[in-house]
Amino acid sequence: MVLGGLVVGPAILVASFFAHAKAGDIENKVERHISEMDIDEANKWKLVGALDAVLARVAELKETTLKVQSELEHLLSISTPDTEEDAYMVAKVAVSLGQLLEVAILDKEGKIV
Amino acid sequence: MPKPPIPNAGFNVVKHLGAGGKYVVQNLNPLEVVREYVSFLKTASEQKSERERIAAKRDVAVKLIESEKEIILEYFKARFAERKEALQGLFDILHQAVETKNEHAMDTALGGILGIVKDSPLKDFDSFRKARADNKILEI
Repeated sequence: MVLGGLVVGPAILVASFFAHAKAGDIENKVERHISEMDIDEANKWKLVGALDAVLARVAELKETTLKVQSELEHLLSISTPDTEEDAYMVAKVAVSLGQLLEVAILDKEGKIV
Repeated sequence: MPKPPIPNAGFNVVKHLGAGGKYVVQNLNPLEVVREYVSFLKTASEQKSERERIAAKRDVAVKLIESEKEIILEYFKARFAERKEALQGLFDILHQAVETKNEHAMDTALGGILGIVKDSPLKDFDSFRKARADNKILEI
């Protein structure tokens, strides 16, 4: 038993060196994966920031369109169809409203315009 | 009486170490153990350094991305606030123009509104980012 202990003791010690080295390699791999995930997460939050900008742009366009539409409706309500000046003003606001509706928010690549 | 666990443990160690391990166990001597220990310490130290390098590189990358995100948010916040203020002024003019049926004022207001809305909010982003990186204050 003593002889067994004499062989096994150092063997366990050496085996623990191997095991530690292997565990260290695995720990490094885990650290690398965690690191990549942290970077991915940060990039996703950055993308969320960019999406907020797109939403703000959409809100701006929506608000502008609704206000111009409201002014057009008001103008129609106070205009007389027979008056040339009134017809011109209505047409002018209507054309502007049409142009507003055609404003692009994103380009073909999905970037904010 | 149960057998003592040590011989089994020895067998298991040899088994797990495989062929190389058997060789190590058969030829074990104290000097070898010390050499293995020193080698282990060196490997452990290198692995620790590598982990610290990975973590430091990650921290730098994350900080950089967060900083870029902050720039984007700051820029758009200021940009959209400025546009909103300008649009509000033009809508006041448009409303007055419609009320008074002032054609000229209406043209001015509509032209201004369309100009702002068609103008890209990203237009000055690069100069803003550059100025911020140089710690300069820039009016957008």
